Amino acid sequence: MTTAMRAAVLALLLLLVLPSTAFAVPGRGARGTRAAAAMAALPAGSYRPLYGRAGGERVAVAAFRLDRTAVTRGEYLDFVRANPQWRRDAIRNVFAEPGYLSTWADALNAGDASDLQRPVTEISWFAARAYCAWRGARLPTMDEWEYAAAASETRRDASADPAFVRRLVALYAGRAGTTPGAVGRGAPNAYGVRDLHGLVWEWTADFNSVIVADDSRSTGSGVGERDHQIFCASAAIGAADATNYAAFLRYAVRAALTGRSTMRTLGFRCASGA
Amino acid sequence: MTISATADYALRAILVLARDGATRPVRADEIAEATGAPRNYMAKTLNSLAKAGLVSSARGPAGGYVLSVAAEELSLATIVDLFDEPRPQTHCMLGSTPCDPQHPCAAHGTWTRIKAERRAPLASTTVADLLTGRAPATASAVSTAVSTTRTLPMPIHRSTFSAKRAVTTAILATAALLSSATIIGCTSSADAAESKSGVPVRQVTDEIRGEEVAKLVAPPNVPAPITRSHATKVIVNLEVIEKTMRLADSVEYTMWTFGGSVPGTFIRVRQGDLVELHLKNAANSTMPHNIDLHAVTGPGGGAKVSLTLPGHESVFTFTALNPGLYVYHCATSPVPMHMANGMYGMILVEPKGGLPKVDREFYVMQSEFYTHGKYGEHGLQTLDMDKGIEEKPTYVVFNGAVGALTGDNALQAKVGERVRIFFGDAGPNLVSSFHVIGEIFDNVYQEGGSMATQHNVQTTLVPAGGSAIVEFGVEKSGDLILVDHAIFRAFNKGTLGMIHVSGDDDKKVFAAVKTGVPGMKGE
Repeated sequence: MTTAMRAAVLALLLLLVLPSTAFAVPGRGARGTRAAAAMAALPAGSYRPLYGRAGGERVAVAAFRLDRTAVTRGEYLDFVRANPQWRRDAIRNVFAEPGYLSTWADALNAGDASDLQRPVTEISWFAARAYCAWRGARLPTMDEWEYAAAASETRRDASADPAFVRRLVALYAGRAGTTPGAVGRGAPNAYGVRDLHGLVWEWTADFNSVIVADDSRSTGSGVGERDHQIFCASAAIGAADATNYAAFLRYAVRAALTGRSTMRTLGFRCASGA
Repeated sequence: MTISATADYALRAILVLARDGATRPVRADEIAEATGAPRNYMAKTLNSLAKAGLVSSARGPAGGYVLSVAAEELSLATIVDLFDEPRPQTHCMLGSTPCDPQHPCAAHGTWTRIKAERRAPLASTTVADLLTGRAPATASAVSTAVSTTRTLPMPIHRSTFSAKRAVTTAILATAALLSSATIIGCTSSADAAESKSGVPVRQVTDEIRGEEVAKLVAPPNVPAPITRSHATKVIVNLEVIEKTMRLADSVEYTMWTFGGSVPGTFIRVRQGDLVELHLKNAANSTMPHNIDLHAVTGPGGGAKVSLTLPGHESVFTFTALNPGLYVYHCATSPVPMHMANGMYGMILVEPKGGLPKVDREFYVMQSEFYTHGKYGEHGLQTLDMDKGIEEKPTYVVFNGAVGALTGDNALQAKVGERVRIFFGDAGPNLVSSFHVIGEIFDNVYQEGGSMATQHNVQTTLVPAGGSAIVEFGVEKSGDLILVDHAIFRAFNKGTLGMIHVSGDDDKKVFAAVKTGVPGMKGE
């Protein structure tokens, strides 16, 4: 067992033993753990998913904690150093596509100081999940992520606010041709979480649970069925709000992913129980 | 197989109409004379052809018959089968034992194949082939149909093609080339049940010879006409690129494009070609994308199998069964956004005989942009969904930008030339009243079909997600102005294009005699 692995195990044990609020380590911990302050506590509540599993009704979400910012290149570099099997030159094909970390200068060079502050992207779902586990956390579920992301700076649920949706669509579309900047620069939302929309798409634990990559114009796309039809006009069938283009974009991205997928504009953040 | 006298006369009549009927209706007595058939006999034959939808007739002094199916699409077998109904082979050649594919007699397979092979040339030869003296396609239609239909997820079931049934059928379906192997031979009850209408559907009958990579060109240009007279495998490489482009002077917009231009790259193939479409999504794209080509017979026009992440590629094949000018577009959710951001283009499937020769071909596509800023407001503009939902565009443009076809970008032609415009309307919402100021369309292939269906047209209506092909000769120098004649759009939203015509004028075509404004030159 390597030192790093022992350290990871120790970190896990600490997490199990101590309530997460008891962490007193300032900033990012040596083993990739984040200070309690780096995670926001979200109270239990509910949200209205684009494709409801209960006839368009709101879905309950239990209290949880969510990283205030996306995982950075610097943080992920620590993970790779500690877990060489996740280096891009060592990762098994089954866990990631060739695009995995492909814009890094080399396997252990994620760029200069400013690069290290940017969200890590070109990450597969397997890799994101492994990182969060190493940190003693997990990926947020889609419900948790959407619940947190429904908040504007001032309101916990702004998903039905046309101005908010408009802004998100512009943010998503505005990413084209740009490199995501440093994390944490966006204004915190009502829960104190930043950059859920402004920087990159983000993995969720169950990204593929709601919709599958199929054509929408086949029939029988009722709510509750697996085939939720993300293509063409009939994507609107069964959607809670056909004007929420921001949500359609997010769901379409998730539908296109597999666990191995990587994108230059796809990163992640971690969550944990309350 | 032998051809009856009636079928023979019918073939001759069709040939006469294909030759002479393009410009005027031909009277029954003229056809009778040209074919050497007795008048009454020919009248009956024409009546049968009309009932089958192959010819149309008009009454009156200028009346007569015209061909109502493209000669390039009409196989000889389609005509012959109307009169010489293939005899269902329900009895074995060796005796009277009932014979069918499930219970074949010894002679069944061999005899069926011989009959099919004898008939194959009729199925693979079109009226146009006969008229132009072109060698018909190789007579391997039987095996080709078997090998190439595998690329299509279509069940292929044929039953006997009955003349009586055909009478009641649609025109286009009868024009399809028929797979000969399944028409002749034993009839089984299962077959009959599966094709109750008796209408044959399109099938893949062409032998694919060779392979080529499609030459893709950006608008307003189109690839050169196809000169080969056989089907081939065409590889189309299309890359989705998201990039910020000019929408108007000092106005930019982050377009999502097929091939880096709006509208996307023009694809040109020939009817019967096997198209292998490679859809790439650039690694720096932010969205997954896919493609729905209206020329595709298959799931979602290809959309179902082509959702592609950035840095990835999807590949699918389809046979270009139907000739015509088709729109393609992205169909990833939310589809209105993908289309409003520029994800559309056109694919031309040339009919087998090609289109008539012209001197210039252009690619023009109309579309709308919905921006937060008002028309002409400077800076990088983004999609205003509300305006899209309300169908109130900020811009309505030709070829992706205000001024894409004016000034230095004007299309060029010379006096005396014939011009063809492949015109598409991407929408996402509006239909177009396409008009060229100072010209009249000699021919319009309405809605982008494979035939010139209308002549001498001032303005043609083009549906969203549809197209039209227009042809005209330019007889006068100067500037011809392309507009959507819903004229506020042209005046206030950018729907303007220009063809600059150079050369010497024929004053008989047009001359200014006196102008009502002193000092004004008129022309």
